[in-house]
Amino acid sequence: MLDPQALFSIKLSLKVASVSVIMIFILGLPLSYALAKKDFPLKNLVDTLITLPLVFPPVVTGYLLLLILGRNGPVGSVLYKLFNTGIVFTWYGAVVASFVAGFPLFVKSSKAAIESVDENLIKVSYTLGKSELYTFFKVVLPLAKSGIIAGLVLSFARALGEFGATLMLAGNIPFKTNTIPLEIYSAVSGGDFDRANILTAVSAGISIVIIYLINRLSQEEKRW
Amino acid sequence: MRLIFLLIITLLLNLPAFGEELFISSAMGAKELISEVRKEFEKKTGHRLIFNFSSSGKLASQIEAGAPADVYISASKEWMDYLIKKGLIEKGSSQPFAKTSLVLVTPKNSKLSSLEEAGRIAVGDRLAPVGKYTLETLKKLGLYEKLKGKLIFAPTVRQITIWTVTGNVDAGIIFYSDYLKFKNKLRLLKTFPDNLHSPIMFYVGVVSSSKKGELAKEFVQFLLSQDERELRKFGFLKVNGSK
Repeated sequence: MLDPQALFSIKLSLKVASVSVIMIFILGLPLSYALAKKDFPLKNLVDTLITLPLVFPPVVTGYLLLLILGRNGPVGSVLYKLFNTGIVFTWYGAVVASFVAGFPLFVKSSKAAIESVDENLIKVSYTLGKSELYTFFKVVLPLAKSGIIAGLVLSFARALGEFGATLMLAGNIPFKTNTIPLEIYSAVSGGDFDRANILTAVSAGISIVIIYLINRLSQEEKRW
Repeated sequence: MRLIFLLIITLLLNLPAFGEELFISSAMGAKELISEVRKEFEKKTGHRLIFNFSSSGKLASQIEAGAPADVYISASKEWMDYLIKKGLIEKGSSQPFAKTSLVLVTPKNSKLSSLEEAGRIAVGDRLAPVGKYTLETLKKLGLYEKLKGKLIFAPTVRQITIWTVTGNVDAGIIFYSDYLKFKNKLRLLKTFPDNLHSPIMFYVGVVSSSKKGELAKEFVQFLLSQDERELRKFGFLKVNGSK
């Protein structure tokens, strides 16, 4: 029912979305905490900059990324010198596009969750002589958990569906960067509707299963 | 207050009397030429032209789905024939009005001297008219199998241009008319001879469902009457002995 190219695109999409969500979590969590609880210079600017991809059309985001990460871009040219390879037209490009698209969704959601944690509980922890790191993991994180998980789901879904920036940055190269949305786009514009339908169903299936699992997980949490 | 409101309403209702509006769905590749023609046409007739610029295939699907359009301009014969076959283009109204050629371009400062040297080449995918002509050309030159692994497919000429201008590909294959728009940022390496691909002609036709058939025909005639000099400015040539 599914040809090797379609199967490849499913595997690739899962890989891209997973890797970008892990990166979003690792970088996004400390940032959300800092935005929620700390004061630092240019805080508003940072907040605005990471929100931009939510407002920009994805193609524009992709174009900016291409200018920065492309072969002659400020970051891209350094990568070329160091590793003799770039991220444009590779699956890393798809990861970067998904990362940038999903990042604000995660940060917005987890920042709001961390802000809503009762300040008194945090102060109690400090009064008991616990460090900030300890308090973060034992008090803030458990209480903000549902918002953080919601942010992860949102960014995963966004990563799985990322199209415009991916096309710009990674191209649409069969067996290399053809994620599910790109593959669906090719199928639809080629009039191959059966193929498009199957891939759409697969894509919807993956999203439904993941959202269902996470909802169940957070409901089980609440019972405690 | 109410008087002003009524006045505005009357004004708005009366607007069409100043001139009719003609909806034109045009291939992106003809944008600059058509925009120039638009100025002259509007000045001459007092009617207003409203444009929808996109890829030929996308516009054809829109017209098929019932999108409002009076005139359709396609960058290839295929998409025009597609609509004619569905009965969506008025019989006998479709004609080629301009032709152009296929060119190989590189970033401005590139030292590339031939297609074979390029590491990565951006081309149109099989659905974009430019991709179809490129495929024909590469096959005829016997280079397709050899270059296959280096080709990066783009859905539009604009995408090919962006990749080439930013130096992310070593070369791109586009229409000469598109190259002219970006000639400050691109280097023209080679023009492919016309016998390597089917003729690259832009077609215009009147959409069957148009309620402004006469005006639409007037516009088509106006477009066909453009002289060679005007077309050349935008990288096109007149189609001789149009059918």
